[in-house]
Amino acid sequence: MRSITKLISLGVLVLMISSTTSAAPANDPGVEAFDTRGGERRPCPPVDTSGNYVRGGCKSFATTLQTNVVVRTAFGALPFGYHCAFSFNLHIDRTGRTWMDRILIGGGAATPCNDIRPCEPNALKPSPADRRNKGADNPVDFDPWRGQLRAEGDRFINRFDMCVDTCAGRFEGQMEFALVREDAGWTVRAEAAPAGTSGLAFDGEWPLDPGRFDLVAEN
Amino acid sequence: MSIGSCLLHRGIALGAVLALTLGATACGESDEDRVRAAVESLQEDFAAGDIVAVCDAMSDRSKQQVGRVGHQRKPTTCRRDMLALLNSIPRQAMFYGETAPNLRRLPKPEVTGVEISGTKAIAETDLNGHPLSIPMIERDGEWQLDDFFVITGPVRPDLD
Repeated sequence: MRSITKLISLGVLVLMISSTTSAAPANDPGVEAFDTRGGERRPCPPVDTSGNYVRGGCKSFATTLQTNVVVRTAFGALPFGYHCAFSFNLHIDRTGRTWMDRILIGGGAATPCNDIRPCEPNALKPSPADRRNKGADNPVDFDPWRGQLRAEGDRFINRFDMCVDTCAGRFEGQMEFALVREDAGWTVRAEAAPAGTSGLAFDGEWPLDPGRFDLVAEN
Repeated sequence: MSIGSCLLHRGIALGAVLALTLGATACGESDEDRVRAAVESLQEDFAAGDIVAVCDAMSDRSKQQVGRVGHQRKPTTCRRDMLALLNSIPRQAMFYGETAPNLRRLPKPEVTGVEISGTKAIAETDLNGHPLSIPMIERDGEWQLDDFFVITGPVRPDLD
């Protein structure tokens, strides 16, 4: 009886672990992420999402005015939003887990870019008191997009769960952005990356502030 | 009934079943084939600019989607809404540097499989190496496109 209880406990533990880790493919090399600010090199700090905030980790701000929004239809990929503004904060912990928050997509008047916004689950809406909390650096009123980095050749792939609401409905699924090391620092690239098997895809790139973090593939 | 007459009846029944089976195979298509054909027909009509034919093969929900997205007004006719939607696509972003839409050059998703559940189906397709699941619905014996934008989550209540 005791061994059955132990087995059940182990099963629950395995389930809990698998539900809190991201969906990186097995067998892909893991990633170590380092905070390189100030010329030092130490593991990225943990990320804290308690209290409806994303805090910590190696944090970078990504922004561009040149993201294209592509809708993949039965007839082919139709680019609807051209040169959309798209910004987000990227948090990475020491094991390459990622959180994207403060996601903002927009554009000029009457462009489809303005119709896209991150999903807002009620469970993660901050309380008014939280909103007034000046000490928190990232108040979120939507679920951050959580992901996991993996090494792929000389670049890293961030596979994350995303969700946006649009005037047509909700697009959700796993999406992949690449992190590429360039002379000036890291750049995030979305190469017509679709959201799962849905019709939405993004195409664009976001140069990140140099000197904030480094990524190494685990052997 | 004598044994002979019973065998005769059985023979006739067996013949009828065989004939029906052969007939169904010869002149009918499976639902999977019909879904596949419907998607390919939609693509051909779209590439040819035959918006009327495309609209005929779209469900009411698809038409509502097209009518409500992008131009801030209520749906009108499918043809008018489709043209408005296509005209809203930024020229500089598409059509390979040409000044007018060249729908024939648009890479199209290729059907790789079909899953049917009653009057609904998903046409599994591949577009530039990425999977795309296209919802279809059967109306009056015809398979129609049931989601123009291939959304995965809840649709707006007024579109469902």
